[in-house]
Amino acid sequence: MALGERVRHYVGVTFSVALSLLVGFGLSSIFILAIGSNPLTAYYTLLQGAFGSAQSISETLIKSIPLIFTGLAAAVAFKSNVNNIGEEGQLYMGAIATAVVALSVPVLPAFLFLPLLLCVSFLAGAFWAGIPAFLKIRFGADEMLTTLLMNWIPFYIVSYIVSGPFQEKDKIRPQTDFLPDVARLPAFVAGYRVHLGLVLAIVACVLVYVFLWKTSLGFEFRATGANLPAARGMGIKVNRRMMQAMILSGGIAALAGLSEVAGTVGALKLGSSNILGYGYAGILVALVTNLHPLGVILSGLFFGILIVGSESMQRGADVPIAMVYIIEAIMVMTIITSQLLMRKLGFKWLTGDNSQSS
Amino acid sequence: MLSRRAITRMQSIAVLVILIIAALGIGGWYMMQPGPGPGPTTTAVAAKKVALIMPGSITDHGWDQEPYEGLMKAKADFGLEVGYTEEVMVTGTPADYDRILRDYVSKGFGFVICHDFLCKDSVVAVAKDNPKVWFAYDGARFDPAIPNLLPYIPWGHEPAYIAGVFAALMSKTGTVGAYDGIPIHIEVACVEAFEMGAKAANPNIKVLKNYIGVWHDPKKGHDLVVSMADAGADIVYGVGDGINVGGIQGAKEKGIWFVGGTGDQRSMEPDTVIVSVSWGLGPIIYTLAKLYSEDKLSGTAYEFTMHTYIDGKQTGPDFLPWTDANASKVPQNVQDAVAKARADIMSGTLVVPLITQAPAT
Repeated sequence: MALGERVRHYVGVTFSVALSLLVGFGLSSIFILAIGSNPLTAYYTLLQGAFGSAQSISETLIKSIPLIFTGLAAAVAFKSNVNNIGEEGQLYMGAIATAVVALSVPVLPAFLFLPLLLCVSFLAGAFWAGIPAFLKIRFGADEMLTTLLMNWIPFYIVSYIVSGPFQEKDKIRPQTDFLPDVARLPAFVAGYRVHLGLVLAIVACVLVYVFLWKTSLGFEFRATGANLPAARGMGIKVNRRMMQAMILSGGIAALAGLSEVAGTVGALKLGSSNILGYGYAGILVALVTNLHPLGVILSGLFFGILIVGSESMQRGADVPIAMVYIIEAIMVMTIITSQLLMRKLGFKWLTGDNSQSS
Repeated sequence: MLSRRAITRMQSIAVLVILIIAALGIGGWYMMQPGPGPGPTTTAVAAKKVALIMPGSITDHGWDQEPYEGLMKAKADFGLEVGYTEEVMVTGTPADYDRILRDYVSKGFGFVICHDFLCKDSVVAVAKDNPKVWFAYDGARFDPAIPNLLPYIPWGHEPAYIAGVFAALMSKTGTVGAYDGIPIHIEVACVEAFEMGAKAANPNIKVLKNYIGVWHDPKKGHDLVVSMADAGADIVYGVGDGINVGGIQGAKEKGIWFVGGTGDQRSMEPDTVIVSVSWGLGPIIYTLAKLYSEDKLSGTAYEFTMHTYIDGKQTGPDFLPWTDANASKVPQNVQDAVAKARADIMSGTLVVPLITQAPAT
């Protein structure tokens, strides 16, 4: 892309997102008015909740980390023509692997321990995604179904290990003991929970971007996603690429589990993501950015703000919890539809759709 | 490309419609604006504010609904300002408790109750950071002592024992069932006491026990109760919220009796849920809010059993017997045995052992 074109592209993206946010908040305010609350007060408390203090900014970032990881995982898979909706289960596998390894192996120095946890959690998620990928390539099993169903298995493995072999020493709560300090992702500032996981998430997004757009292997991934028969015709080993994309996606999703267990929480607890949690939200995070790895950083942050802020709004502005879900749903719909509408209308440069230009 | 123009026009109209609706919404704001712009809504310092944080839904007839109702009753009775957050574990994760607790503190709440086992480390950290705010959570008696933090524990083993006596005598097949979500202390206490009660009433009774692994999933409860019925159980005791919503449906389908758990679940299916083992969570939260409104809280563990009296009134877990409508279905010998077990427990001649760890199987 020429420089002018690039500038115009980013202006267009910004404009399109700003417009859809405006429309989204406009639509949401109808619902807030309908229940007799004041939308301006509501949005004020929303922003207060997300940015009002150093503590709330830290909490907003904390909420974004797993969303960025699962969003990136979904983006990689969808971009390469595999519909991985098993991020939830892969996240759990990463969480389980992190907790089990950190609590079982002898204490190592942090510079060895953290890379070890990074590897085992990535491998656990990659393994879990590899099974449906294999079933798809070998037997044609629909990966949407298999990944979805495989979400439940790690969920119940967690339930078992937190009340069975790895339950805390007190044997009271459904959670493990806390990980040794050297196995924890260090926090940046004492007293605030935001931790190294944020950097890992952003680095992962950048690496995936570079891989997909700046390497020939990455090009083959994208070509497989853009047009399968054409990619096959070009001599790309599409089955192998889809399998690799799925495995990469699963490994990335598992890092969300690592970040929750070794970072935010410090222990594996029952419901560490929750079925219908970060895994599924990650798909939305990826979709609103048109599956762009760098966009995932922004949209992950946006969802973090939206979730933390709107829940705080619920507590401060006297609106029911259902309103939080309504606002979140409206936001996703307006962003996605605005992109589609603009593309249909021919404003290609407004949509952030750079698939032609690369 | 032939319909390019038509699509464009349709899409244009759609965009226009959305924009108009948005404009209406934005216009609506300003119409509704009460004078000054947005600002912090809390100004009164004097109002006593109590917040309740719950893992599940406030419509679950149990773990979450009863505390919510207790809080609302306290609000009406003592003029408290209240706030609540429900479904933390349905829509979020245990990592969220930290943020929610701090959010309530920043909104000026003086007493924050976190009604979950999994919030212990969060509530301990936040209580240490905010020594002027009271905190309570569903804890254990040997949790760390912090002056402004009070763990409360409903021990339901005594009513569960009575339920065991009742179930064993009601059973015609000689098999009864008991299930729960996760085998942790207060849950194990109930399931084990139920078995002891059943064995005391009928040494030959077969007790099927199961821990489902989750509290919020109705489908799992349903399927388990159906499988227990298929294994011969004709009365099943369930402890949990979502799993009991499903479990009761399963019992109804199979035409067997159900013993409700956590709260008063008799009203959910009066023809199926014949008795209920209540932990008295509503009165417990009500009592804590009352003590707070009277400045009488202290940072000790509040344990509730059938022997707990507050203001001369029994507060906490209890065995809720059959309703009058169902009395004819309970034979006289069963009624007598239940009355005797209850009297023995209350007088202290019968001490139900408190078992907090599931025996190895």
